[in-house]
Amino acid sequence: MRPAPSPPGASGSAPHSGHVSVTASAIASREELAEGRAVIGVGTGGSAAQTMGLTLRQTARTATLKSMATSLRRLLRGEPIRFESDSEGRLAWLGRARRIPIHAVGSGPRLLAAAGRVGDGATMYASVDPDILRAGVACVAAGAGESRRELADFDLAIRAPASVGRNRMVARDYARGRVASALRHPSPVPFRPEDAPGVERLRREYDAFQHATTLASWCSTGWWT
Amino acid sequence: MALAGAPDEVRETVRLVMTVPELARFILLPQVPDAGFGSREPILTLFAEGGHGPRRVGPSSVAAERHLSAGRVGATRRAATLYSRPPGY
Repeated sequence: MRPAPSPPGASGSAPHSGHVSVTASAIASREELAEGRAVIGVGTGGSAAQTMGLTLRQTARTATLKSMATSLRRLLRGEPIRFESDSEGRLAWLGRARRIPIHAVGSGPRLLAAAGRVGDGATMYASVDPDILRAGVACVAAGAGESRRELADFDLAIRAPASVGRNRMVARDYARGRVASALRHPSPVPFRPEDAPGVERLRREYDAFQHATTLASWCSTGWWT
Repeated sequence: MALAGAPDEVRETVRLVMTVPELARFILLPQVPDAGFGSREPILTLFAEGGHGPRRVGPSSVAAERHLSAGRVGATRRAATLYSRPPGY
């Protein structure tokens, strides 16, 4: 019962921290090293965008996900895209078209549906609770249906902070910062009423410059793990 | 929100996640403190041995436990590892 080999790739590249042409070039290079095994995850960005002065509300746009997926596909086929400067560019070194699956990453209903519309696969960064995951799967399925595809065609994944240790509390402490960062994003289902005030507080106080660290002040209560 | 805790606890969480049949992969973000503390390897080793694969306590998991127990909470690093659904789930 050994896990299958890990596909090489990035689990969530975003347009704010790396230009799509650079991302395309990087993943094409990886595909060259591990032909037929590379995947690329695309998302709308979180903490990196926040450190650049953007809010999650500004970045979490379905159009961004669509644009990323479309541009990556074109570049990986060797086709040109139009840059922000209005000039056109392509991966001149590519040689031949590369078929690299694009995993679109989302947390809330809108982005998960968009992931279903534009991705070859979808990655949910939502929870490990089966009920919440099922709600997320339904969002992806709805998006896939809009693009006349079946969920069975999808490589569906969850992205989860992981920390395993014999000392349960230490292991959980390690994960608090990452969980806190995940809670900034919308959920496929509304948070429970008793959790909502804490989530709101966390979102207000979260400091992207201390991204996912467990030393940050908002980790002191740690009620969310 | 996380696969976090003791191996038995994480194994149970994995089992529950795998009741959602559409899911094919976990992408793990192993959470470890910065230099001088733990590393990602013990977390992945314990996950594979205790949380995801067949249960086996060997030298690697003992080392992993020592690694984690010696650590204290610190800043985390980011990494992603993909696992496929193993046979039998």
